[in-house]
Amino acid sequence: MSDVTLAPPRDPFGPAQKFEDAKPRKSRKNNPLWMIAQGIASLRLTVALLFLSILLVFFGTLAQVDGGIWHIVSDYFRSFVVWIPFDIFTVFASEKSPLPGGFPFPGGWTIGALLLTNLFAAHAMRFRLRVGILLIHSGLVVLLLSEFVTGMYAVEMNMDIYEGDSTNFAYDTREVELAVIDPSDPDQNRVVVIPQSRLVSGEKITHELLPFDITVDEFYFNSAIVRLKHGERSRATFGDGRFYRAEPKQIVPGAGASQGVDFPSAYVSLTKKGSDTPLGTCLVSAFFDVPARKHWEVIGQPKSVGGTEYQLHLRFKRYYKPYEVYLVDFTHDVYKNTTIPKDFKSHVQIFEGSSDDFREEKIWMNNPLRYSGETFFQSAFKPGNTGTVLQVVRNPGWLMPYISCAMVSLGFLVHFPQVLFRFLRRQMAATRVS
Amino acid sequence: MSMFSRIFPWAILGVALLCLASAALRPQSSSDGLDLDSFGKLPVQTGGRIKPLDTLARNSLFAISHMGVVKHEDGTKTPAIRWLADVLFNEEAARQYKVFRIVNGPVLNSLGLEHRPGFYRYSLDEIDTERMSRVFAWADRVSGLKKRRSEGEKVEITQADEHAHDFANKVQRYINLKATNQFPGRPGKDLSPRDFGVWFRTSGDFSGKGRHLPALIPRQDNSVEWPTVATAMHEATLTRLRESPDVLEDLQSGKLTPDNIMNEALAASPDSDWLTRIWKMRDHYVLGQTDAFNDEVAAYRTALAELTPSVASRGRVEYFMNRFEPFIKCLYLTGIGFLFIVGSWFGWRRPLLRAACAMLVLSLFIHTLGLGARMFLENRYGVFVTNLYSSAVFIGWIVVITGLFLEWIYRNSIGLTVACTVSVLSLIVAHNLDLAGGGKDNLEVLQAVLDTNFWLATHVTIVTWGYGATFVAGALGIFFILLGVFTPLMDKEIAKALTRMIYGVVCGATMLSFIGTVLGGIWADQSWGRFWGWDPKENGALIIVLWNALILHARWGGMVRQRGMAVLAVFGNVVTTWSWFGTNMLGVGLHSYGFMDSAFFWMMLFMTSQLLIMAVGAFWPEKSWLSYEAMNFNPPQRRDGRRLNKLRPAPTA
Repeated sequence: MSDVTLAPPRDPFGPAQKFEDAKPRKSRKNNPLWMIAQGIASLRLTVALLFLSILLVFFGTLAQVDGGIWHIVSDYFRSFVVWIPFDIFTVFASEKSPLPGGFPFPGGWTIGALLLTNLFAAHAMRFRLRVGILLIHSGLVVLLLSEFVTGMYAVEMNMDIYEGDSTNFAYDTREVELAVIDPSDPDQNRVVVIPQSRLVSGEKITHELLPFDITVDEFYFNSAIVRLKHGERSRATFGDGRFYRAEPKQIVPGAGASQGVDFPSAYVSLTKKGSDTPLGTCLVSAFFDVPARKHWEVIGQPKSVGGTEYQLHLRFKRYYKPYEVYLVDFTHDVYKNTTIPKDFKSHVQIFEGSSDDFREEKIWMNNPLRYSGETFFQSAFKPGNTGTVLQVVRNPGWLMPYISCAMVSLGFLVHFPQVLFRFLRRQMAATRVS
Repeated sequence: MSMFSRIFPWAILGVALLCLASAALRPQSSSDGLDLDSFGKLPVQTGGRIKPLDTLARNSLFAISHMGVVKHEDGTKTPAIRWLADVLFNEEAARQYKVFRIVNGPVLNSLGLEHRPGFYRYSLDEIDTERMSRVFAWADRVSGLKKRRSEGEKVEITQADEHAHDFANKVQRYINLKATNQFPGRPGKDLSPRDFGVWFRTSGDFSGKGRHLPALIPRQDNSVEWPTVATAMHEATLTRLRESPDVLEDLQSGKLTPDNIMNEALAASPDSDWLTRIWKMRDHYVLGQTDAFNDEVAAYRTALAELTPSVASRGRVEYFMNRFEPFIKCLYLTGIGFLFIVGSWFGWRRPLLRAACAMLVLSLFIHTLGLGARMFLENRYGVFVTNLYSSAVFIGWIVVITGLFLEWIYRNSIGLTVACTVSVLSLIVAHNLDLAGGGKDNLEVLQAVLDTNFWLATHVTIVTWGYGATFVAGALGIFFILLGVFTPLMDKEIAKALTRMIYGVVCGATMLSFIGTVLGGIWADQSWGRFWGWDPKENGALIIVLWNALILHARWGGMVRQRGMAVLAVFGNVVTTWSWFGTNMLGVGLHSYGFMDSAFFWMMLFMTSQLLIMAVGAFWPEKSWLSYEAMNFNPPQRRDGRRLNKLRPAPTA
């Protein structure tokens, strides 16, 4: 018996030329534009971009050890260029000595955009139409776009509610705002809100509704609040800052729902509008915006100006809702005879407008509630199981990954079995004959 | 083919089956006739689930002694369940077991113990009470330091501190075990008022909610909290004492004896039956009444099977798993299979390969049963992976299936070789992860967010499957490089077959890891509203997808061919190891559930070895590959039909 009777089966998985079918016509060959287009559509570029994205993801992972996850996400993955410090490579070193220097690297937006361009160009110029591949690639496009939409438009908020209490706003612990509250009207507070982007050390803020200007003396992205020692002098002349001092801290590393929160603080000085006459300095801090307190009363730093007692309040950025959420009950199950949590469940009622028109819902782990374009997740709870913390997410692109997953999976299902069975048939035939 | 060659694989299979059967059926009963097999199956509620006493015994002993059995200084062994029986019932005997492992010099000195290099184990009787309390105070200080460190303060904790803390934890664990189940007095003697008083106080300390001690009094299932013996007895006694306000006077006047109180309390307790049985078990055990003890255990099990058949049957299965250790058996079987394969390189090829195949199939069978048993015990059907340990076990299983599939297609022994090697490695990793757990239950319950069978069965399974497939591709790559560079055995055909195998497996790995990763994103969206959080574990999975995609595109673009594919596939091992273990070691993120120091060393060693192999594959001059000629020319022997090459496909009859 000889095993050389059969010609070796044709390589079924496709050698290189399979995708190079569309050979440029001779006239095009020397056209420089055509050559550039070829380059943009080339698989070499795909491989290079995939390699760059692997590196970027890896660097972005290492950087999370010392940097806050949200800073890393915006610096590395949602940016055009990122400066990568050499320091991130020392994460596993036992004795850390800071490593100076770094190097620039293309950020997530750049690589993503190039990958999209490369993909579209390749489909326009080279591929035969094959349903499987087309589905896979279109699904990937949807996925890349969904990350873009999420990066641009998604908002993540927390909503704290105590049992038997209701709330009508959610807050984002990744950003703060300085609220100046004028409570003189008994029906309605008038609030001037200054976003975090304006809270830069040395910045002077003027607003037509305020009878004073605000100067930011110092802004800390994360801080600790320390009680002043006896005899220690404070920078603040009014408010809690007369007894406490803010100390800058490193931003908190970590990711996900249980991530640590940065507590920004700032020293701000008030001056009479349009002049330099000082009215006083105070300490405002997200620490004083205590969501642990049962009622969200105004707990700012009071200052009387022109007969009105204004409250200065550095708080996590708030999003007020057109509805109210009432917490009927919060339950926290543990595995019996342990402290290991088994489930968290919030029983809520959502009121919109009148008090007898409400929706009754239960939210528990892995079972969120979708309501008015937002999604409510069970996230955490208050000490002693007295209240719940819901994560509220508004992401216009939330459905896109589902669509993408369906498309890509379908693509795989169409493409790979086809290839696999063709291959198997031939291989088995070859084995049998030989 | 000779008769012997034909029979050989079957004979090997038969011998293996016999060995397995004898391992499965051998009873554990100790020499003095105690039916510890039955005793070990009694259920106990601890760590969030119901497990047999045998599991509790093994895990506790492992935590204290770093071994699953008691090994005496003279080399003899005592099963863990015997040790537990002594801890529960016979304190004097329990204190004499040399099981507390202490290796640290300063800790030994402060306990006044001599060094025992090589053995390292000490009994409680050897330790002076006063010195012990000093070490406990030391451990308390260390706890304080650790708390301060977790709050971000810079404190120095020495190795000795860690060891002292560790030792105190071990002793506490022992005390908890003992105290949860104490009966007053000594068997066969009247209970003295003093013993009664001491017992009443300690059982009070160890009863009540919030102590989370191993609880023995059975209930219908795990949805209610089982009482411990201490709790049940203490409450019953308390109720009895409340009934007679003049207890002290009655005791002094002799109108009441402690035995009266205990008996009446026991009779009135709602758990009277269970308590009485356990109490009798103790008395028989201590007094050495073997038959009576065995009868009592049997009666207990009958009553249990009536109360709750599901708990009883799970207890039997888990006890069998503990003793049979199916995944260790798989390790042996695949290891033997590997030896057969190595043997086949030197001659007598077909019989040895068939024997290897038989070993692999048998191992796959046991592996499957083991995984099925785990699902039954956890009551999570379709869920293969619940922790790091089970992921390694599952990867071992996937690898065997993939390898056998490749073998079925190609019949060139490459699939077998890869299946054996990678499966052995992953089972070794699994075993070490189990050991590194330090007596942690490897069927532990899952935190709230993970407690969803749907996502565990889909996302986790598929992602881990993707890991396994990437490892198989990597192993094939290594095989290609080693075979080509260091042996003259690889010819054109084999190179081509290997490349196609790599290609096919990488295709599968891409698909699995992509779908698995996206499913993970969808789970994340369902559970906290964020499809993608750039968390280290997520990023690790993404890197695997990207790397596999890169291999495929590089191949489609003609940038790599055979050798390049192999080199790239090997890097898949590095990338997967990073995602599997490396990301956990970063200690940040939601998924960091298994930080291990010593594992870091092995991970780096493995990654370095992979990079070395890649370097060899990529940079070793082509002409110095020992297989260079075979790979580039059709060897002349093909024309006259002779097969000189041992790795060529064997003709099938």
